[in-house]
Amino acid sequence: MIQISHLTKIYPGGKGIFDVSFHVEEGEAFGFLGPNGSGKTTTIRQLMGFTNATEGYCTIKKLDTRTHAKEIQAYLGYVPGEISFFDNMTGTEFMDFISRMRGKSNPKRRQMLVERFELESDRKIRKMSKGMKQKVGLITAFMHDPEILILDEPTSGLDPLMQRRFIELILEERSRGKTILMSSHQFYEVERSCQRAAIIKDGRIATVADITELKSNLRKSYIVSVSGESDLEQIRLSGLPHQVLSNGHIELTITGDYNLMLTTLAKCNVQNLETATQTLEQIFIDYYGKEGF
Amino acid sequence: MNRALLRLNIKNNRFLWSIMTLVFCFYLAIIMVMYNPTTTDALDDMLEMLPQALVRAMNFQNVGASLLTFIAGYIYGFLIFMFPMVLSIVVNHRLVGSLVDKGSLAFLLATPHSRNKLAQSQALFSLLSITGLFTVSSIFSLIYAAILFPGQLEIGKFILLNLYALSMYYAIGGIGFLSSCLASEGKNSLALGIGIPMTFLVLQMLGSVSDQYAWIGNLSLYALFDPDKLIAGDPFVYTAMGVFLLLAILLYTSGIFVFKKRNFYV
Repeated sequence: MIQISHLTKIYPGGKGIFDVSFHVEEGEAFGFLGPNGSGKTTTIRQLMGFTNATEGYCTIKKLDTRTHAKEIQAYLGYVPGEISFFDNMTGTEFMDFISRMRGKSNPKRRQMLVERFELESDRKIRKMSKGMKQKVGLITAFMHDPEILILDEPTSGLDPLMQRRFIELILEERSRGKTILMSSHQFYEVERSCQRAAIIKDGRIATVADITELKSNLRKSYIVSVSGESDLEQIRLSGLPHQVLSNGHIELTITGDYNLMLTTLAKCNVQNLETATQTLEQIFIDYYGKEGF
Repeated sequence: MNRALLRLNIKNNRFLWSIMTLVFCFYLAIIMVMYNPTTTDALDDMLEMLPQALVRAMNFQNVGASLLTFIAGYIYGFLIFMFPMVLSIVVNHRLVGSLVDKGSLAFLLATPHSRNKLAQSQALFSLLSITGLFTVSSIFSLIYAAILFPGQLEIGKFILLNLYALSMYYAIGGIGFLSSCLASEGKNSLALGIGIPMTFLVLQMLGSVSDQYAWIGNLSLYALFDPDKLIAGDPFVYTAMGVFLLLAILLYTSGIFVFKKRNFYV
C-alpha cells in the first residue's frame, strides 16, 4: 500500500535521510520509531508529496507521492508533526473548512470523535493548549474515514488518558482494515498499536521488524533498593547482571530469567522495586548491543 | 478557484481590506473637498510652506486646475503608493509566505487539490483584492464628485487613470506574490515583498527631487506610471499599461510555477 524505495533527501548542510526503504502492507499498522531529529518527519513529508527527493521515490497505492499528491490525498488522513492552524478559527470552523476543502464530510463520525477526545471545539484554536490543538489535528485526520492514515507523532501533547483513547482508536481502525503509518519516539505506544515497525537513526533505517521480534530482544530492567551490604552480597552471588547506581539503588537487567531474580530478591530485605522506563535509546542498546549506537 | 479557500482568504483579509479601502476613499474625499475651481488653492498655500524638494519628491508639483488634474496630482502622485501598497504587500504575504512560515500550509497540501490549483486560487485572490479596492474607490470618487462638483470630472479619463493604476498594482502584486511563493521563511517573503516595491518608491522620489537626478527615477518601475501623460492624452499610457500587465502575467505565473516545483518543509 505504502512503498518507500531508496529514498534519500539531503538538506543543505548534509543532514537528511539516506537510502530509506520500507513498505506498509494494506490493512497493517506500522510504527516508525526514531529519536528526535532522526528523519521521521523528513520521510513523512516525502510521503505527503511536500518535498522533492534527492534520490529514490515513494508510492502510495502505486502512485508517486510527489507527482500524484492530489489523487492520493483523497484516500488519506494526515496529522502533521508540528500542528499549526489558521489564525482566528475555532475548532469547529477549522474542521468545517477542511471538510469543504475535501469536498466530503461525515458529521456523525466527526461528532463521535469530538466526544471521544472530549474536545471543546467551539474554542478559538489560538487559545487552545497544545494537547487540545493535537486533538483537533487528530479529529481532522480521522473524520472523513480515510483508507490510509499517516500520523507524525500523533500523541504529542496528549495526556495519558487521551493517549490511551488514541491507541484504542488506532486498534479499531486497524481492525476495520485501515492502513496506518505512525511515527513516534516512544516504544510503548508503537508496541501497543502496531504489528511491525521500522527504526530510524541518524537518517538511516536501522531495522524493520515485527513488534514481537523487537520485544523479544528487549531486556527488562528493574531498579531495587535493599537494606544493606549482606543483601548486596546475595545479589552479587546470584550472578544476576546488575549495576550499582550512584544513588545506592541496584539496576537488574533481566532477559527472561525472572525466577532467579525473584528467588534472589526473596532472600533480601527489599525496600523498593520499580521498572525502569524503556527509552528508545535503551531499545537501541538492547537491540544492537552496547556498541551498536 | 476553490470556494472554500476563497472564503478563508476573505475571512482572513476582510478587516485589512476594509481599512485600506476606507482610508483611501477618505483621502480621495478630503482632497476633493479641498478642490476649489474659482479661488486660489488652499493646498498650494500649504505646500509653499514645505521645502520644495520634499514637495517635488512627493510629486505634488504641476497640480493643474481641473478636478481630474487636481486628484491626479494629489492622490495618484504619491498617496497611490501608500494604502493600496500596504494591502498588496500584506495580502500577498499572507497568501503563501505566511502559511509556509507557520506551517499551516500542510493542511492545505493535505487536501485533494493539485498544487497548481491551490496556487492559482491564491493568485486569483491576490488580483481580486486589489481590483476590489480600486473598484470601490473609483465608484466612490465618481459618486462623490458628482455630488460636490456635478459635471466637472472627466469620467472617461478618471476611469482610465484608475485602470492605469490598477495595472501597475497587478505588477506590484506579482512581485509580492512571487516573493511569497519563493520564501522559505516568512521573513524572506516580507523582505522581498516590501523591499522591492519600496526600493522603487525611493528611486522614484530621488529622481523627482531635481532634474539632475531624473535618471534615477527612470530606474523605478513606477516611472511607467505617469498621470500627467494620461491627462495629456499621450499614447505612452497604453504602452505602459501593456508593460505592467505583461509583467504581472510573468510574475504571477512564475509564482505559481515556483509553488508547484518547490520543497515545502511544513
